Amino acid sequence: MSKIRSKLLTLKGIRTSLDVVCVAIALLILGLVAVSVIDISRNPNSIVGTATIHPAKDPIVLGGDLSSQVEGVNLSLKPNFIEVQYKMLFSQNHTDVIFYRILWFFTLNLPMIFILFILFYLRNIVNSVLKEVRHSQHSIAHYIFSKRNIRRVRYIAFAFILFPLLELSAYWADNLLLQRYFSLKGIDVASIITMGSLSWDYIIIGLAFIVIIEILRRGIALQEENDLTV
Amino acid sequence: MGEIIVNVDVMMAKRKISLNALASKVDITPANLSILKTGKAKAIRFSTLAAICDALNCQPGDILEYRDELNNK
Repeated sequence: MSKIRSKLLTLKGIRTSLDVVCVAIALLILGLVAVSVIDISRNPNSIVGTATIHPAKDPIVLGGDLSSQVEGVNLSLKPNFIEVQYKMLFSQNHTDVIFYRILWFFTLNLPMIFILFILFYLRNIVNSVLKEVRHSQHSIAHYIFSKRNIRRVRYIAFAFILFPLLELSAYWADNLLLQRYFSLKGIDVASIITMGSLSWDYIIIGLAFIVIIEILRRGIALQEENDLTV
Repeated sequence: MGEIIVNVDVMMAKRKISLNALASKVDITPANLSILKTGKAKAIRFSTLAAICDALNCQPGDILEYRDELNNK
């Protein structure tokens, strides 16, 4: 009995610490949202960012001829070997600016959102076990493998698979915008995100999760049948 | 396919025996006997069936019944 009580205390400790971490990350994300909203409202028609450049077929002359394909867009570049910082100034409000800002906000904070999502579902799993144990006399392990918890683990697995895909969409969108507004003679401009830097290994982790979930589901079915055998 | 109906409650009423008394006689928990009585059970061990038949002094056919899907009888 005391063993179960100490286990329950441990679980409660885990839940409380997960609560604290989740709230802290959520507050941090909210703060960052507020900061970026203020930033967008202050200068709504400029984009500051970083891109990578690499020479096209013709040799490049840095600081040479810079031009933009769109009227009313000013570009300024600070060459730093292969990375360039740029500032686009739009003459009027442009939906692309807002889109770009939101895109970069999500791209930069994706890991944080991802961690929050996973911790939130872990917390829910621990919480469900605590809730069930309070009402019954079975062991703690009996309640971890419930259908609801399987669903939660599946959400986590989907998050693992979705994470690199979201990064990939950011990569595509960033390249699209750069190609639309940048035109440098002799230089190819690309996003600082590269295909290789995406977290492809997360997909494998997610798929491994799904395999484990299938095993667990079979186990749950067997346990249910065993429980209902008189 | 039809289904198996458990008529333990009918037999218990005939023998005038309570759920707890039968559970202690058969040596299973009242919770498990309740699972059987309410029809939630997915399987029953032969040993449990034999013990219930022994306690209620009846045949398995008195406790279990097959009901057809079509005419429900």
